[in-house]
Amino acid sequence: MSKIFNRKIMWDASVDSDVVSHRVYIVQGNQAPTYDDLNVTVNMPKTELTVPDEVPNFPLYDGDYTIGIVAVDDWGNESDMEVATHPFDFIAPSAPTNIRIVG
Amino acid sequence: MKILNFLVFLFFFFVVFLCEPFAQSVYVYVFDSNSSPTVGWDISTYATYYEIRLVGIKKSGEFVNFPSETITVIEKKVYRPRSGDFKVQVRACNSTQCSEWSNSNDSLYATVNGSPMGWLLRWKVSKPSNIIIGLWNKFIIDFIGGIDNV
Repeated sequence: MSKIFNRKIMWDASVDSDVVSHRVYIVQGNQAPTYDDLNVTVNMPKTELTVPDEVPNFPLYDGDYTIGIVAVDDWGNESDMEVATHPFDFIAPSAPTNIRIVG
Repeated sequence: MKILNFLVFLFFFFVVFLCEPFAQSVYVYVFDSNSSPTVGWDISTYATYYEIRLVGIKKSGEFVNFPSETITVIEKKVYRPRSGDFKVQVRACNSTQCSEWSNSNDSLYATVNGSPMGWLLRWKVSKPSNIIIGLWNKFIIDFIGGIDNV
């Protein structure tokens, strides 16, 4: 069995008092996320997300992911997206082989 | 003499309270469009004051009326009430009645740069900032059949 370290995404909340949650969009690669991409809602006051643990169907991949985060207010309005691209490696290396006991 | 006084009373009552013309609906527009835009409207005949209010529009389509303000001039700087989309409503009033509300999102009563066009005011939700990505001291174990937490 292999082990994959989780990564934690953290951010500073929107300063608006009527914000009730943040929506985190995740895409593979360097392009900005769209509103159709994989996303998960994080309710206030929490402002962090652990991947891949807390994101259903998170694509395990070795390479850049682009994270987009918007604030959502209690009327359903969404802010502009704050975007960051970061390399992740969620693919464990292949196991060593051919263990030998010498002597 | 009493009859004459009564007739004079009836005349003024009729003129002042019954025959006062309706205030007309107004055309609303916006200028000085920055974070605190100024909303203006046309003078309405027979109006002695105006009422202006913001109506918030939720994403669900529900309207939220904000308190109206009474004003005697024909422009008003409006300040951010909260985040969201808002239509502006203005109506003209005199001592006996008010016109219908003129809605800024109705091209019948709204103009943009002088052309009939509905408009809304939008105050954006401020976005989050300072995304940080770090290691986390938990890990998952990838079994053949699935993923489990440790």
